[in-house]
Amino acid sequence: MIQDILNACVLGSIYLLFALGISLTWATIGVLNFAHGAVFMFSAFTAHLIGETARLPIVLYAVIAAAAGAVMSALIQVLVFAPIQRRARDHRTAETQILIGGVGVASIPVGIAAYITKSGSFGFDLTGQNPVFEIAGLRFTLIGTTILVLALLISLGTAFWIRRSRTGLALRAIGVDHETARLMGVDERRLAIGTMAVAGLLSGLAGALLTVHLVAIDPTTGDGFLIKAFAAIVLGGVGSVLGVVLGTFVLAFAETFTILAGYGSWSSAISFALIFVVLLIRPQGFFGRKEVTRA
Amino acid sequence: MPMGRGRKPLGRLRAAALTAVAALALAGCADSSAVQGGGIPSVIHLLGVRDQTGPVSYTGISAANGTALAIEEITDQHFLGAKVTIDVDERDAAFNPQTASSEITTGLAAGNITAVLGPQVSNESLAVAPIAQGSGVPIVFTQSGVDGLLTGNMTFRASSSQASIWPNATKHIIDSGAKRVAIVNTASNATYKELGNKTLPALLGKSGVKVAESFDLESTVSDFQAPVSRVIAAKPDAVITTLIGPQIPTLVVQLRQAGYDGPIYTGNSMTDAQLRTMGDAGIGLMFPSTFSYAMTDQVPAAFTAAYKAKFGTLPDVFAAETYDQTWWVARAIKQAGSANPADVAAALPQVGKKGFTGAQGALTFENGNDAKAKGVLVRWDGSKQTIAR
Repeated sequence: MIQDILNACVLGSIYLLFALGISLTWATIGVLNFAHGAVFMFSAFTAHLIGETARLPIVLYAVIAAAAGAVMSALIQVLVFAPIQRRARDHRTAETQILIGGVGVASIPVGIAAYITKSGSFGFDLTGQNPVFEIAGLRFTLIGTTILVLALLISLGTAFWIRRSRTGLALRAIGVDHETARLMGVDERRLAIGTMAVAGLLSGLAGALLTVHLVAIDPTTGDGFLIKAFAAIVLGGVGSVLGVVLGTFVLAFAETFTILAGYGSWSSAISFALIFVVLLIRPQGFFGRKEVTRA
Repeated sequence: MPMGRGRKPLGRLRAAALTAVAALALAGCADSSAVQGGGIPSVIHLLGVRDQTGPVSYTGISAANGTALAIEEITDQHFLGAKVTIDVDERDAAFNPQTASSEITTGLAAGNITAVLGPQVSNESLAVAPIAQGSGVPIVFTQSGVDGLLTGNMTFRASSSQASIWPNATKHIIDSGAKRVAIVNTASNATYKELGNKTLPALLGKSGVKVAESFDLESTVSDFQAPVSRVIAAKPDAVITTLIGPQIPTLVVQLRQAGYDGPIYTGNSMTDAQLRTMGDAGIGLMFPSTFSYAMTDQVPAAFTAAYKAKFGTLPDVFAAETYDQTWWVARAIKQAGSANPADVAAALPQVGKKGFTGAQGALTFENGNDAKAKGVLVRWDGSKQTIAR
């Protein structure tokens, strides 16, 4: 039982690492980035391609993927989302167009990776770099433990950054009212690029760690994570880092124990039904505000 | 009067129009003589509808390669005549039944298609089968193990169903002395789901092997620590999985990480690229298949050598199946002495009843329309496939 709880925590951390980047941009600069899953996959794919030329240590795979994710996300902001935001007649229209734009952008890296891999799975050459150790009868893998620890540290760091730093304050101001924030001297353009880069970095890091943990992913793996992350963020409450943590862990525990109960083919249905019931009772999610003001 | 004046020019116009229509019709007849009349024409037109893009594009790309190699051999050997060539219109089903239907409809509209080399994915095959049947053009599938596909006289299958090749693996499990197995089953593919829930328990149950633990999991499940935990608790002598795609490497590695060191058997769609991602954890993984490049029988080995020479890579099961599919169609054209679709459809079962040896080894055909191969049990040694049985 304790091993199962530990496994559910690792799964929750996997979802959390992925979801944090989406939550960050959605809650602050108003970008619900549907290309996040593609960035996640393509960052890992970039590290995979480089790793094919020389066997790399696990840390280097993570660094390459994180850097690739940051660059990709920043480019998406500059080349796609920022022009949409400039030309849209109002904020709501911009949000909708960004959503559609994200779906369109996502198809490019997915298409490239699918073409190169012939839609097959890919991973890293890491023989012997993910050891298993046992403590008090519980089994841990190095990567599973790293994911668990990193997810919690990054969540705490993100929450601290958003709540305590001047940049975080500026981002929250953009989230509440971007026009007033601009009048107060907040450089929205620069902050948007920076926030997207941080979200991309998290996405790339998640891509590398999950590829190690899951052994192999394929060009469409990001899509499945995207839906789950979206659900977890809504469940936790848009704009709350603690909400994302809770949402992802509720989803992971629901899935794990549905499978353990022998209803594996119902895991998504039961998990999403649970989320639906919670949202019926509390539409703003666990930690969302009734009147949604981002961040 | 105006009417009278206009009659002559109108008559000439009408005559010219009739002449043009007749000429076009004759031209059309000349082009489609392969379809309409007897005899083997100089150009035979086939239509291929497979996934060239999408999540299983590796299957469609290999399939097209298998067909290309077969056609090259058929042409070089003058199998259908010294000057006969085969033209394949390859179309992309894009892992979408609607696209598959649209592509086959467009392809058949040319009116000169002798046979269709059908999709490999069951739901695409189910979508296109009625279109080929309604058009009176034979369609030969590969993979597509779904029940109820071969219901018309125009539908054929050139690869063995999973149910027919798994006895090779279950015998291996039984002979190894296993008494309890765990099955980790996909809930997202009807064919594999039935295999894991009905076929395998029945095959193993006959010899007293008990299914100690069984799971159905969706294709969206990415982490298998929860089912692995229960599998370990059940202490099985062997683990069987019918999962597909990147789920297999994840499950295999997580089973090993959790301390399971017994044999693991998986479905037949394993490529070397998928197997390599598992690293050391994949060593010893076994899977039944109708083909492996490790097969040493004459025709499969010759196919492997020819494929490697042409494409520079080792062939997989998808290429082997379409190689046999294309040769089956060519044999039927020769048997019929015609490229007329109805004649070829009638000849396919005749060839099937005789059977032939292809890349999948000796092929027999149930009811003359559904291929059965004995298959082999393939073992991955960490760097290449070997034959375990």
